[in-house]
Amino acid sequence: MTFASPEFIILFFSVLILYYCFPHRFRNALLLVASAVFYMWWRPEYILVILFSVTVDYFIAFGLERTGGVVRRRLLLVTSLVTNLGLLFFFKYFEFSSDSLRSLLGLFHVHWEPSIAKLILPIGISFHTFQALSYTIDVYRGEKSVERSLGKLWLYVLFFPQLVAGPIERAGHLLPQFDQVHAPDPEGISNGMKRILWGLIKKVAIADRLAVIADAVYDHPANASGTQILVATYAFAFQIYADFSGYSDIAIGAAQTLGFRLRENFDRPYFAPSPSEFWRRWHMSLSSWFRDYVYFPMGGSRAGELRGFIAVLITFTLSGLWHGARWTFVVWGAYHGMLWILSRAARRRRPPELLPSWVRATATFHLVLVGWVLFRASSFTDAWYVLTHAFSGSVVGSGILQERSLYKWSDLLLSLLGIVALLIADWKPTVKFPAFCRWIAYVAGALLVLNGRPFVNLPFIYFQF
Amino acid sequence: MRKLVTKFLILSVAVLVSQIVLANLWEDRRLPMRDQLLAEIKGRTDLLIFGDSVMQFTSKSDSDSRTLGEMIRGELPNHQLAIVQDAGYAAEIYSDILDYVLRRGVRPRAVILTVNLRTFGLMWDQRPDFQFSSELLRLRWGDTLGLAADRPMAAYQVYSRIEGYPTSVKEYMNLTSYRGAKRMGTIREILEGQGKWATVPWLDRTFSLTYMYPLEPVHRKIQTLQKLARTCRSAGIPLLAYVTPVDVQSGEFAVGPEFRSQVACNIQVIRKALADCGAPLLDLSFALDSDVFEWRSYPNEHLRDLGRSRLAAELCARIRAGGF
Repeated sequence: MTFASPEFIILFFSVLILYYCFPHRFRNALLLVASAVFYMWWRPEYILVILFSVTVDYFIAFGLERTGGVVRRRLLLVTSLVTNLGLLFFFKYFEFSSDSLRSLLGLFHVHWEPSIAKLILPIGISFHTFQALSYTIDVYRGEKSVERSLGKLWLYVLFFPQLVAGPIERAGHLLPQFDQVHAPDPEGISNGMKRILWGLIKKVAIADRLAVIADAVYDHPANASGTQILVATYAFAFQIYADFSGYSDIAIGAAQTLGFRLRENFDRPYFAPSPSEFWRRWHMSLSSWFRDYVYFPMGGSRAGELRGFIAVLITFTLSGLWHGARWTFVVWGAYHGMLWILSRAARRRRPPELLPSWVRATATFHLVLVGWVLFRASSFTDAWYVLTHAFSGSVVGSGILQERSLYKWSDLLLSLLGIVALLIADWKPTVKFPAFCRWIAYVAGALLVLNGRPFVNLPFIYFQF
Repeated sequence: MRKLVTKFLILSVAVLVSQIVLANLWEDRRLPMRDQLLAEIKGRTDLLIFGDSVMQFTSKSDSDSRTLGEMIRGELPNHQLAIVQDAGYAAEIYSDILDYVLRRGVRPRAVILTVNLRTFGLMWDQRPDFQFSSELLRLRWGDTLGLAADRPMAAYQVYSRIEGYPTSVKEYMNLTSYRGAKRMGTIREILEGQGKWATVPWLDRTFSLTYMYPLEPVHRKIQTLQKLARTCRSAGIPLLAYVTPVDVQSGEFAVGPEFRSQVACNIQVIRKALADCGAPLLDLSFALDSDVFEWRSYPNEHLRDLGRSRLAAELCARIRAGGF
């Protein structure tokens, strides 16, 4: 079930009403059932993957609590890692690995044709795998006590607002909230609703509209002119931001109405003055996960400059691979790792404060933009074509792109307005308008959500991860 | 909390009212299918004829360029006809149009109903642009509410979720056609697999896709035909339903002898369903030879002038015989 669908609205309001009508002891059961319905709406059988991995983690955590020996504790942790990452590998990377191996063997004239059944990727598997893993690692490190209730641990991973595309929660933050009694808080519910509305506007009226422009070019880059490629690349940069931050807003808002606090996932990333700062503002829950569970264990910045840089590069490359089973994602991750390293190295030689912050933010945005080309393109060939033809100066594309809406001024204007609204909201997020203006904005926002969606079914981008 | 609920309700009403007002100001109020019909049913209406593209088709090679509808008008000069026709029209449109005209107090002396066998197959029944959901909504709910609800319902795929048809052309093209247990291919594979010349295996697959499905009485279009027949019966309006001619000779050439038996079987299901509602079915499926069908990119029921004039004559004879 996706957030921008009528069935989610029905589920959400039903849960909201029932949640506050139910006594506290039944509320977690209600959330668990609702979360299962939310997930099973798509492919019911895949819930077994989540339940299995979380159940394994549940027992491993008990083992970790009872075992004192370092070796046995490590063995238990490795079991959890193998189970969770094994499932992730099986569903997400098996085909990719086989294809890559086949291509590699082909270089040495070794013919190998693996027979692989095409697997359907369980929705949000990368998210719930990481969330489940963080629980076991935290228990292993002694940072989190063992959760006694299996149902609660299931709910920790399955909790519907953040199940399929984050924010990736930590056990120490979310699990205790299931024990708290949440009295109906009108202000919290009201703020949560507003956040959901803003998230829907971002997704439906901004991201989906921009997607039409970006998809038209990136589905057939060879048919596009230089101008179209440029427009589409900028469109994608804002599409992915509106899409993913919109999803996070809906997730955080929906949880807030139920009295839960989820981690923030975005903090005005396109105003970041440096690539390293960008990653402190973009998909924050994933960045901090990689920092805590990959970068720090490798020594982090305390391991010396060279080792630190290698750790950064490995962390970012893995982060790229996390996004998708494709070499373009891997290179995208490595590219950001290199940017991070270069920006750190440059900062030591020349303090960036010499440049105005808007210049640094603009430069960072454009470096990130180049990365989005790799992220969005279907292959290196497409990415290379886009990068080398973006400034070719041609205006009119060929074939299907002439018929698409890329040059409809009304569509371009609406998309541009969406981007401006997004940037203004990021720039001045705390401006308080008079009540009358706010009410007009709510009505206009709801009308935008109802009518602004293009007539195409576009799932959230991060669902595929 | 009560204050919050009140605010939420006020906001909901404000959104609803704004949506109705803005949609009625903004959206195109024209509905050609209905507007054309309203123009035709001014005054007396003897026959209300429901047809699809077969009714309005003409071929460049025809010496008589009149459509089937015009031929029927020509044969019945004393009858006042209202013809509802367009490509892709099917039972749902006919049924809702009939309800609509009856609500407006128009009472034709008889209803002539085209039953095209192709409409029940995947290719037509599931095709997103043959659902006419917006038109149906406006016929059922009226313009004010219909216009307000149409855009959100279309954008959020509410229509397709309710009716169960594909949400996109891509999804539609990936539907798989079977003949019995044999996989004939996806709609895309079949329609795009023609190549330069129509080969027998390709014809086999296209004829299968178009006609060789086992029709069940629970099919949504059969149920809608029954609803239409019941509406006619309760309004005391005679209904003459007829099966559009099919190019049986080409079908048998491509598929084999089971083509004719499967078509006959499906017609029997329709006949039984309509008979249960007191409506007879005129079976013209095997009435015309292959040479009067217009051959274009795939098998179809479009007729050349000779075929149209024969069909028009047959239909008019039945209409006269029925005393409509």
